[in-house]
Amino acid sequence: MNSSLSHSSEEPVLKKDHFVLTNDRYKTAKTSMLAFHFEPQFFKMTEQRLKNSSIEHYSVNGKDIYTVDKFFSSQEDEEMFDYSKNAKFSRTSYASHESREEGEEPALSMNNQEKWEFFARPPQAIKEIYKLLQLLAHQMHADISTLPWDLCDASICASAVATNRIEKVSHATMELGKHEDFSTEKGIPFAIPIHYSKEPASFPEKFINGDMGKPLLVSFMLYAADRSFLPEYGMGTVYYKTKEEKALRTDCRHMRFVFFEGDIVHSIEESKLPPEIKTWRISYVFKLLFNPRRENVSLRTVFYDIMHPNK
Amino acid sequence: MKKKAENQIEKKEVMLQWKKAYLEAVIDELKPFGDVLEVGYGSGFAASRIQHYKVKSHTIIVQDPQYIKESQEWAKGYPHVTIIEGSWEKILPSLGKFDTVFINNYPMDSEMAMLNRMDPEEIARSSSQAKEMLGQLENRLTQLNQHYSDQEIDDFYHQIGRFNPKELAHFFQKLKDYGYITLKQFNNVMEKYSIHKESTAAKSSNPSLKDVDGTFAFLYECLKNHTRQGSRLSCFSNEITSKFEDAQFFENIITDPFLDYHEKMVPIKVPKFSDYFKFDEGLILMIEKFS
Repeated sequence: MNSSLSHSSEEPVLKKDHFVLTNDRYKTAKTSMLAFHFEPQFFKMTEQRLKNSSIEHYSVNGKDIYTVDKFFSSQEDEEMFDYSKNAKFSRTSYASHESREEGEEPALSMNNQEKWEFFARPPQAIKEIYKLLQLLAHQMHADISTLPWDLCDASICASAVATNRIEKVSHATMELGKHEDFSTEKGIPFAIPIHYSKEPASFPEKFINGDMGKPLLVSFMLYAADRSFLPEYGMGTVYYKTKEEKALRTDCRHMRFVFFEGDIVHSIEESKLPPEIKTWRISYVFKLLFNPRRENVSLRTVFYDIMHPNK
Repeated sequence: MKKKAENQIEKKEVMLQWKKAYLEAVIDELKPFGDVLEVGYGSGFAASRIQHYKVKSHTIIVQDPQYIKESQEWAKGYPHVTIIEGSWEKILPSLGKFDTVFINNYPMDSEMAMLNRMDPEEIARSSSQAKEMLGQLENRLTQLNQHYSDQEIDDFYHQIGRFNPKELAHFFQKLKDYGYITLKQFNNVMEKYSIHKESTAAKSSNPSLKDVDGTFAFLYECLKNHTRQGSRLSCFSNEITSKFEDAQFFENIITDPFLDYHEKMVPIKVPKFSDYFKFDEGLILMIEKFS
């Protein structure tokens, strides 16, 4: 566990906002363009936590993945376990339109009320993540926010905050569940303001994620797992070079979190459970937008420098 | 004829009883205090219950002409009650701030009119199964875990769904959202039976009064301009879907850091012949303003 961590009494600060929808496909009664910004702030203890964590970096098609372990205190670990064990997951969720149509076994997820209560009144570990995002916003000279709360079309809803509780995953579900969280190259359906522009302006709908002066869309994922869960049971995350070719997998470990560029194709790994074992694991996901305040900066490079594992 | 008339009166009384129970539960949760604003009078159940709480003043906006006289007669028995005739949209801007706000917008006429037109046996035959299936199923959709075939969908429509066309689009939408039917099945059934699809128009994040649901518009306007720190607001709800699933309510009220929102379900006994409210639970919602 991280030793820097009598946690500070400072509370995270988030600010409510709205994005403007630019694609009629998502113009439904269920779409919510609400978003939350993590106010840039330097937290010394959070910086210390990050320095003392165990960080690994991977690259898939030139896009970055970071796994972070030992960020949390034992108290936060315990609280998150208790929270996860008792949390309600009243809804089913699918990875994508296609996987649902083709018969994917859904995961259990939180409904909107459960999700809001998790986000607005979270366990301490999640508050520490909010502070980490505020620290990153400060250090990266970027505006960090969630994506729009719910982008829903006729068939499916892509949420900024997602939770998946699973007990087993078949090979078929792993295959069917391959997806990108979003693709900036295929197009973003909402207007992202250019902060360094003198006049009000937005980025084009399509851009290279994390390119010079461009936003970086990143997914954050925290794992929580039953005490009986072992990494060899699978149910981690598989990342793909192409839809057919695996690039790497990351273990599911309780209190590990991962930052990865959200346009990397990924899937929940199939389970390898001995027949007598009954266990669970949960992923808590935030889909994030890192929006640069300076023009001649690549946020991917800046983020790499901050997260660089060779300390 | 006489028997039919007596039957109708009895049914009206039964129907009023469930509304009384629900409205009293809402008002008891609201715990009115100080200056109270109520919109709609209906049968007076909410107004009478508010008076149990010894409020400082009680202003009731009544739009429907058939209830003006009734509400004025009722008000004579209570001090500090003011009845104002007209729509809330026109009257509210001229009013001050209130500690308690309640909007009672149950459409009294629609259910009564239907009741008067239909033969009792016809009501029972067409509505009871539909009410049971649509209402209870919709309420328990998250607990189901199966996929319905095309044949099952057709059978459902013919046996139950066609008697409640108003509710059907919403019900099939829910089935699709929960994954019990596919998008293809949803589109097919809507087209096959000419079921009017629910509007998919987006609701503005910053609503104007013209664009939005009337109850929401009223609550929003009150929150902005006609309430104080500590004010409490509630409303009659003819739906049991959580407001957390209503994007507009969620964005503008639930996630407002200066408001506290909570909701709960209460059991209510609704008569079988009610064509308006089909559930065995009612939603009570409560908004409190911090600042």
